[in-house]
Amino acid sequence: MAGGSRRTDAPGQMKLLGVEDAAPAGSNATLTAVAAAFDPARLTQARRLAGLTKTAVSRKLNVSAVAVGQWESGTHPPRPDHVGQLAELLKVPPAFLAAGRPYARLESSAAHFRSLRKTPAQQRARAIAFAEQVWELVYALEKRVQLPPVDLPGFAAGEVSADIRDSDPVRAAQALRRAWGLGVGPIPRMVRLLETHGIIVTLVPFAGSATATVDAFSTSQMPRPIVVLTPDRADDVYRHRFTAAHEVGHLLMHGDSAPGDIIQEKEADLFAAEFLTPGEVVKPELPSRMDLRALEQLGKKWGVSVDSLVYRCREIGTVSDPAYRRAYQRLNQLRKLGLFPPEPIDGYTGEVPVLIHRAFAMAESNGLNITALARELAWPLPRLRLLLGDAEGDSRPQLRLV
Amino acid sequence: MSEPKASAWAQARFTDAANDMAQAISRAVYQAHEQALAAHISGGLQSNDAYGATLHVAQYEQLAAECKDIPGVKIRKPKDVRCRFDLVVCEHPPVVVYPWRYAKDQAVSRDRARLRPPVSDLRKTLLALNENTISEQLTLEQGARDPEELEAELAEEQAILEQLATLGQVVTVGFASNPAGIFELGWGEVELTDEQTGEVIWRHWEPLPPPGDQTAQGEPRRPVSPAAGDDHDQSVRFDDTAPEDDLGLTLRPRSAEPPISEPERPQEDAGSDNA
Repeated sequence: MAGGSRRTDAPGQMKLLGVEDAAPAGSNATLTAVAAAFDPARLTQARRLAGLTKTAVSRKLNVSAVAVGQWESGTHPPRPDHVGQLAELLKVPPAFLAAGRPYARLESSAAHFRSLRKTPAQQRARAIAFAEQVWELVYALEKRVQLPPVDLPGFAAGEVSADIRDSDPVRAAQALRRAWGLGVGPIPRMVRLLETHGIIVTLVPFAGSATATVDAFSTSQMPRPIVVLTPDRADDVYRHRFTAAHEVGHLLMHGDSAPGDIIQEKEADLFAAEFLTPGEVVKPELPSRMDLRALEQLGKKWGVSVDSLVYRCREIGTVSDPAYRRAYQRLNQLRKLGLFPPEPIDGYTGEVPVLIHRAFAMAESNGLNITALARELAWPLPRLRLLLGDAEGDSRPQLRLV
Repeated sequence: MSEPKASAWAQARFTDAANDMAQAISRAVYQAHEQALAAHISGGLQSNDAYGATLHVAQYEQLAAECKDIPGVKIRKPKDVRCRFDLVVCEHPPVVVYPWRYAKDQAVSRDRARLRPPVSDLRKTLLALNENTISEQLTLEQGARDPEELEAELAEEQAILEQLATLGQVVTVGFASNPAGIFELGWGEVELTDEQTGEVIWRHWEPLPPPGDQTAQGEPRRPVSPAAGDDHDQSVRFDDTAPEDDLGLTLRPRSAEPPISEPERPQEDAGSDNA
């Protein structure tokens, strides 16, 4: 599996959690136990989740950047007091930094970022660490609830074989429609369709206000394919659906990712257009001349934006190149401004991910407790709530003093 | 005093809210001026810096505050273009209101005013929405084309521009002011003709009366009627017929076996000596 390493439950972790049971999270006994079982990769993950560089961590802890580098490379473990300081700084329980929990590691190069150019490296690292956490949560839930099996042609164990992968985007989209028995009609619930085929989709502000700098991304190099959509882009249901389809195109065709590759991005766009609006059915429905009102209605029927239908019009030659350029430029400007979003996803339940949330609810109704799950994952409770789909990260009732 | 009737141009942009918008915008600009004037007086500066800096912020804040309760109005910040302030947006039809203090004295007439270069991305993107006519000057390449074919193409392009205008337009609130007062206030359509120099053309201009000249404030607001011909709600929507999917979640017994994410496949025969 390229870019990934997976560990399983180890007795060491159980023992460590036992220590924590007996002693407060920050006690000397706990910190000593964590230092003894320290996992360098977990420090890297926690640092990335916090959006900090090694230098920033070293400054806060008043140690050298070299020392932090050594902790992360595993050449020297941190002292127990440094473990405590790291946990506090990175806002994780000390047990987070210990080895032994299931962990699928993802390399930065193994994810397709929709807007690589606009996504700062630090936020990419944060997003990657988030995807790792998503898998950890899914794995923990999967131990209790049977999730839909992954059904993505060619996908097996975090790899995509050369099958559909090698076909051109249009044929790949047609092949996936056939494989999933979708016929040639509109796709009523794009996000739910992915979930029913075992693909994990998330839509949470995983990096707080910085989430806006990450458009969307996906990876097929985990035990389950993961598509991460961001709430900032969810104010336009058509763009949201197109992005979800675009990411499936990457999952299917670009197992050996080359993030930021313009050709791969174009291929994923072509895939999405054909998947959402099969050419053979949509093209005859297009108006014989540019008619934005007719296109708007057609877009509503198929769940796609006017932009993508204007592109289709150009493909079949019902608009001239200059007219297409005018329309393309203006629609781009309108999208850039974002002042007139067509429709948010709120009214479209099939475009909001529910799999993780529902799986947790089912496990919870059978005895799983959110606090116990947080401890099993060694995550702070608000973080778990966030990944379970609570946008605020903390849904506890608030005491209001009047 | 009878309520002033909004022009056909204003009604086309703001439908039934046109009068309310005119009054709210006028109040907003005058209040922003008053705020800026207070800053100018309390600052005690010889220059107009305090006035200008305060007005720059206050014009956006006052527009948002005055317009936010008008039915159909939203207050939004542009998404992918840098802009510090929230803008007033009407949804049906889609129109954004953008303030521009085009002059600081009476020496510069509105027709000669320019946007200060370099023109910001926001202004370029916003004002491009008002590009509703194709250039009358032909390019060399176009000059060499068959006239009939070219005419048909230009007509198509013009028709598309007119259609595109229905997806989003900008109404510019233009005013000239300094601490001595507001010399001119109105609204209209500005098109940016030269990004380098900031040269603009006013495609339309209508003066807005000062707040005192209008009907009494606080009249009951009327709801905005749906956009003319907005019958597409009855059309087919992509998710109309789909039932909610049962994801087929079932409980798993807690067992020593780790879960697998993919369907079990039959074991492949690895060969046997027993054949």
